[in-house]
Formats: sequence, structure tokens, C-alpha cells
Amino acid sequence: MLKYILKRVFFSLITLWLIATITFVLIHCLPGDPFASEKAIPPAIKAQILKKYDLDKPIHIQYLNYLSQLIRGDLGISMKERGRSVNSIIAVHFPYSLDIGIKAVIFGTVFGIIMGVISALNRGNSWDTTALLIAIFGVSVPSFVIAGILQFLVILISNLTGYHILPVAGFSNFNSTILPSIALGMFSVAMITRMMRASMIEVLGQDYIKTAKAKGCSPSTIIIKHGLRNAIMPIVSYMGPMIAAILTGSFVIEKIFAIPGLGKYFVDSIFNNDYTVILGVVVFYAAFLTVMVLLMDISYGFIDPRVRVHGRRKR
Amino acid sequence: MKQININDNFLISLPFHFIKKKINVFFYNLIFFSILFLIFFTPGCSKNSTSGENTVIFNLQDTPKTIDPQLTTSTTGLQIDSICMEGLLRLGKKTGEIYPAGAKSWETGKNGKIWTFYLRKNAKWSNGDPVTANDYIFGLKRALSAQTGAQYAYMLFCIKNAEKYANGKIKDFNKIGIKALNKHTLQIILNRPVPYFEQILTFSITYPVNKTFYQKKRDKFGLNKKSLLYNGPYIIKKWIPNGKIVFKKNPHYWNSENIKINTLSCPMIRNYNTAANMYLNSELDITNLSGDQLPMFKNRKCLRKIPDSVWFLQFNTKNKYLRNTKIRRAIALAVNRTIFCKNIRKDGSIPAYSFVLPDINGGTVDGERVSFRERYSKPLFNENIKLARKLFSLGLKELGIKKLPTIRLLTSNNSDSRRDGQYIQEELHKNLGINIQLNPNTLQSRLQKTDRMDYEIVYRNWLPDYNDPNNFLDIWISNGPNSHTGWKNERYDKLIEKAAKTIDNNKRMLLLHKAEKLLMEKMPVAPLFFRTNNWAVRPDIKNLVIRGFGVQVSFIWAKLNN
Repeated sequence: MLKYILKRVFFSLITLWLIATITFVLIHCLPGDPFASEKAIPPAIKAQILKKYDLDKPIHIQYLNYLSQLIRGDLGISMKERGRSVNSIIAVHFPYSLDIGIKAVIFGTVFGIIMGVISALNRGNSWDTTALLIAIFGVSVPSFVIAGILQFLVILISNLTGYHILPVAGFSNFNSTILPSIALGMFSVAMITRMMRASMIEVLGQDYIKTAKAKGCSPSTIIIKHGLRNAIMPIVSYMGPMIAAILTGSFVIEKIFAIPGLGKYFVDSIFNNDYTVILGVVVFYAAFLTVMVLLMDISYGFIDPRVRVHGRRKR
Repeated sequence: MKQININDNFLISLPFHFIKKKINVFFYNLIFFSILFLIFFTPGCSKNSTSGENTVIFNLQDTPKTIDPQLTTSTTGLQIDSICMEGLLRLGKKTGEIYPAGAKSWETGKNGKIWTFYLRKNAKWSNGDPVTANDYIFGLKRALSAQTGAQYAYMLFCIKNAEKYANGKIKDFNKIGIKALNKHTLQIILNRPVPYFEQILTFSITYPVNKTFYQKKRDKFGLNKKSLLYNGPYIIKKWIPNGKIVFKKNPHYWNSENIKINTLSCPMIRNYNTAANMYLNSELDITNLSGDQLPMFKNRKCLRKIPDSVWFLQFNTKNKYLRNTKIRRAIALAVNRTIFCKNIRKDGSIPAYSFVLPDINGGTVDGERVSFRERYSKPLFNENIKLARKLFSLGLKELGIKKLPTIRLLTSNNSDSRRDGQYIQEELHKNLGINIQLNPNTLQSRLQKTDRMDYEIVYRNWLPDYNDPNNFLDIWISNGPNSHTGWKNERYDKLIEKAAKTIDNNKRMLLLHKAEKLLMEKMPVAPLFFRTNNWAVRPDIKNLVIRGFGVQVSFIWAKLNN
């Protein structure tokens, strides 16, 4: 197991290096100049600014400087937000995305699994139809539309009743995280419901379920112990990338709900040609994604006894 | 075979019957799932406490790139600096008015070159230190030194030897026309008389900096709430980057008893729709809106419309075809601006037939303040499709061609600019038969292309830095650093230069107006509209001053009417 993990970590590092290099090349192909502004800057001052960010040096020196910084864990200084290091941008803004993200992931998985199981057990009847309708709604309606509808409903209720139930946007307390978590988690609810339903139906048709029934297991034992545990495998592999995507922040949801999360930096840094921030957040996201996928792969072994990486003899 | 007899009625009623039954069950199930959702989030559904007493929630919209007074260039940065800091002077309630701030009085010597400022003796920093003339000098020195990298340093180049110091030609700061006569008197000597110098002194680049405090912070200066010393009406109590800034009243401020609002809570909400929703849900008191949200505010008496920038088409006059004035004029005359503002933009923008923004200071006429546009209100050109067509065919004849090749229109890549670009494209095609190819770019890329003159027509705007028509007109002098049109006109340069040397304001305005007229005759730029900024302000906030440029919102005189 340890050997396997070490091998995976090694390959992850190579992946990260490749990603950093490709991104580095790509951003220097971007049209535009990070310091261009609507008002002309005196040349002496412009030279000073370029020098400060190493941009006056040839590109291969910049690349080597960047790599050596990266190995030391320093992602550089933002070119647009003065004096803020990319490390501190991630440190300050990631927790907000994480907060909303964790809630959305919990919401998504719990509901997805519950609805998936309910609809699989009631295949073909109205429960199934309702759950699938919600799932179709969640998949096909984009999150920003859901966000808009939720905001509209909140305003409608508070205008009709005069009772201020939830804040429309902001991030002051638990209340303000409710709407963004729902909007962000709705897609996962839908995806997981559909996957859970399909895999649960498949599992319930297996012979060992019949065996379990024949043994006289109670229905709850059959569903939870024999059904769920086997059916959850595809969800686990889906959850790695999903968690990475949700936790690192969504540009649209964070903008609509005015949450100071990391999502903004993924998009704005590209528009602003903020080279260091683009590289920093891309490398951060890539690292996060590789770690999540690795964790999910390792967790297979614990959930499904059939998957053992090493120490299992072939027959 | 047995035939199944299906009558028509049955066929029609079957789905309804089916759906009806299904719908009932479906609703029960939906309610069940909704209750599950609700249970999941019940711990959060306690009553939400809104802002405390005497608090105003103001939408800052964007995160400031920096709040270092010498370095900030964004509207947000200027706004924040003006809330928590103060320079010698402050913009007044009406356009062109200047109020004393750090200086309690000031005077101009002969020929308008020597300015003397008498500072307030009771002005203090938020740590209790007095604000002295040396603090102002240190601030100006910092602004001008190339190491600081202040983009707006050029605003101070009217001070004697300042430009040479900024470019490193003079090393000794004492040679620059800034002197402390004593602890509370500051003298500034200019290269030439500058009638709008007072306007420049309201700008954050001239704000004082406490030297001992700065030397303690160095590179960290202005990065967070603890690395800035305040001398303005408020201090920063809380600052979440890209999230929210909370200001509290500064007890050390010299005029703190007249500051009526105790707390300013300033979230940064970039999405206009969210901001509008929050305003409607009483989570915001002051915010600006885009045209899309205006219908939601139709019946509310809370809107204020303030023009803030001029939007125009800028031509590359080095281009083979666009160097012809007639072609440029034809393009300018062929776009219907009324329909553009009313049906396309829908945000209350005003059609522009001149270049200087409506609210820009025009000095005084018979002792009354007027804006430049009130002084010279006649439109400098008019849309006229017939004339445009005539000019266009004449222009083509002069160029010796039959048809203009496809021309690129460079725009920003946000949805508003693209939509506007499409309208211009359609108008020019319909009225003149010109084929326009839209070329949307990110802001940084658009600026770079403009700078390299790699464009034919660009759709852009100009936000003034200081309240004077000169700020709109001296852009277009030959080789002006912000021009990028390649347009050169000696007469224009002379008019601008002469205006800069004129002390008498009436004569100066006339010269500037002549320059504007000339600009509109030659049309290196074709103004389209003056954009209106729509502000929603909670009706019980009184005396709130909102301007179109510089520091947009001023809370100094504001109070809550309970």
C-alpha cells in the first residue's frame, strides 16, 4: 500500500510540474499586458514596475525563477492587487469557498444518496418519478438560475410577510451560507441521485441480494449493508473530482452571492493578465484535485473489499 | 382478432386522468422532499439581525487593488481613501466647489504660481500625532519618486521640477517647488498657473503620509487596516479582502462632532442583480445599478442619475482610409444616438454631441457656478444620415476607391460592450454600407492593442481624473500619451497650450471650447453618449453627495432622517 501511495505521489508531482509549465507557456501567449491601463504610465515608472515583477528579464530566466519559487512553496506576488502574495490570497479566500463547498458537498451527497435509494426501491412509481424530476431539474437548470430563483423567492417571502427570513447575499453567518450551498450543491444532488439510482437497481438485481433475502436478513440490513455498500462505488469515484471542483470555489455562485471566495481569482486573473495569480490558482487547484483523486482511490480499499491494491493473490 | 374499441373521448381524457392522479401524488412527494430539505437547513432559520443603529450599508462594488493613497487609481480605492483619509482640500457639494479639509485656508500669490496653505492645528492622525506640513511633503515626495511607481504621478507634474524628479533627472527633492514655511504652513510653487490645481489637491495622491509610521511599515504600508494611519472622518475597523470593509467614526478627526453616521458597512458586491436584490431585501442602503435592474425600481423614489463618463469611437488616423476626415465624420453622423440610449442601453445615458461631460466645472458666470456644458450648450454636430452619406461618398472619391473594405471595431469583451458594438455595426452597415467586423478583447488586451495602434476603430470611454474640461481635451494633443489616435493638429495643440497659460477663467473656457469645436470638426474621436450611473439610495439618508467622477460618494454631510 505504501509503495503504491509513494508511486502515486511521485506521478502527481510530475503532473503538477507539467501543469505549471504548460500554464506558464500559455499565459505568456495571452494577449495583453498586466500593467496596461486606460491612462498612460510615465516610462520611468513603468520600468520600475516591470523590474519589480521580473518581467524585464528573458522568459527562460523568468521560468527558472518561477520554478525555484514554486519548489519553495512561494507562489509569488499578485500583479494587480498590490502587495498581496498569491499564498495569502489562497489562504484568505479559500476558507470561504471551503465553507460553502463543504456544506454543498454534504448537501449534495446526503440528498443524492437518499433520493437515489428511495427512487431505486420504488422503481416505476411516483416516488421514483418525483426524485427523477428533481434530478432532471438539477442537471438541466444551471446553478446561477437556481441562485436567481432562490434569491427571488427570499425577497418575495420577506416582502409578503415582512419577515426577513434569509439574507439574499453576503457571508456574515450561517444563514447567509444556506442559499449558496443549495445552489452550488443542486447539481451534485442531481448527478448523485441518478448514479445512485442506476447502480442501486443493478445491485438489487444481483444474486447475493437474493441470498441475503433467503438468509432472512431484515430489509434494512439488505439495503444498507449489502445494497448501499456495493452501490456506492461509482459515487466515490465521482466524488473526488466533484469535491475538488466544489471546494475550490465557483466563480458564478460566489459572484451572485457576494462571497469572497477563491472562485473570482480563477476567472478575473485571466482577464487581468495577472500572471502570478493565474499560475498560483491553477497549480493550487491541480494539487487539490490530485490529492482528492488519490484519497478517493485509497478509500476504495476500505469501502469495497474486492478492491485491494496489493497483497491479494491471483487465482 | 378481438378489436379494441377506443372511443375518442377516452383517448383525450386518458392522459388527463392519468396526469391528475399523478400530480396529486407528485405534490405529496415533492412536499416530502421539501420538508427534508428544510430539516437539513433548520438550524439556520433563526431571525436574522440586520445592521445596528446609525449604520449605512454602502456597496463598494469591487475590491480595491490597493488603498495606498499614492498608488490607488481605481474608483473603489479613491472612495475608500476619501472615507478614511483627507488631503489639503476636499470636493464640495456642487460641481467645481472646493471645501477646506486639512488646510483651513489657502491663498494664491501673483500670477497663480505660488500657493500657500495654512493647515489646521487640530488635525490629528488616528494615533494622536498632529498632521504637519512635513507629512504632506512626505506624501508628495513619495508620489513623485519613481520607486513608488505611482501611476497618477503625472497629475503633479505642474509643480516646479516635479517631472524632472520623477524621471530621475533631479535627485535633490529640495529643488522641487514644495516647501514647509513652518510646521503648519505649506507652500507649493508651480511651473505655470494651473486653474484646476485645487481639484488636483483633492486627489488621494496628494494625501499626507506620516513618515515615522511609514518607515515602520515600509512594504506593508496600506496593505491592511493596521498598516495605514488615518486622518479622515472614519477609520477601518474590519477588512475582509474582496468581501467587506467596515468603517467606524474616527474620534481624532478634527470635525468628528459633525459626522453624523457612526458606522459605514461596505460589502463589495460586483453583481448588479445581486446588489439590486439586496437593496430590495433591505440589506443594502446605497448601491449603483445597471440598466437591466432599472425596471425593478420603476416605482421607487430612490434613484439618482449621475453622468460619469463619455463613451466614444476612436479612430486610428494612421489608417489608410480613416485618415480621411470626411469618412470619420460620416461614421460619426451615421449612428443614431437617441435610439442607442433609449432602446439599447436603457440606463438613462444621454446622447453626446460634444466631448466634455455635462457636469464638468465651467467656472462662474455672473457669480454663479455653471458647468462647462451649461456655458456652451449648443450641440457641436448632429446626426444626419443624408449628410453622412454625402460625406462618405466624397471621402471615398478623395481616397480614390469605390468601397470601403471591412473595418474592425475593437471593443471590450463584456456583454454590454459587445451588445453596443453590434448596434454600431448594424447602424454603419444600414446607413453607409460599411462592413464592420467586431473584435472583442479582454480589457488588458484591448489596451495593449490600442497602445500599439493595432486597431482601426476602438469603442472606449474616458473617465475624468479632475473636474476640468482640460482633462477631456488635452488627451488629444499631438503625441499625447493617452491619445493613441495618431491625430495631429497644430491649431489644436496651440489652443490647448494657450488655455493652459491663461489665468482668466472666462477666456480659458472659451479657448477650451474652441478646441472642443475643432476636435468635433476633425473627429479623431466620435462621442456617442454620456453614460449615466444609476444609484439607488435609501430615502431616509439625507445630504448624501454623489458625483460622477473622482470620489463618487461623500458621507461628510450625510445624516439619517429618523
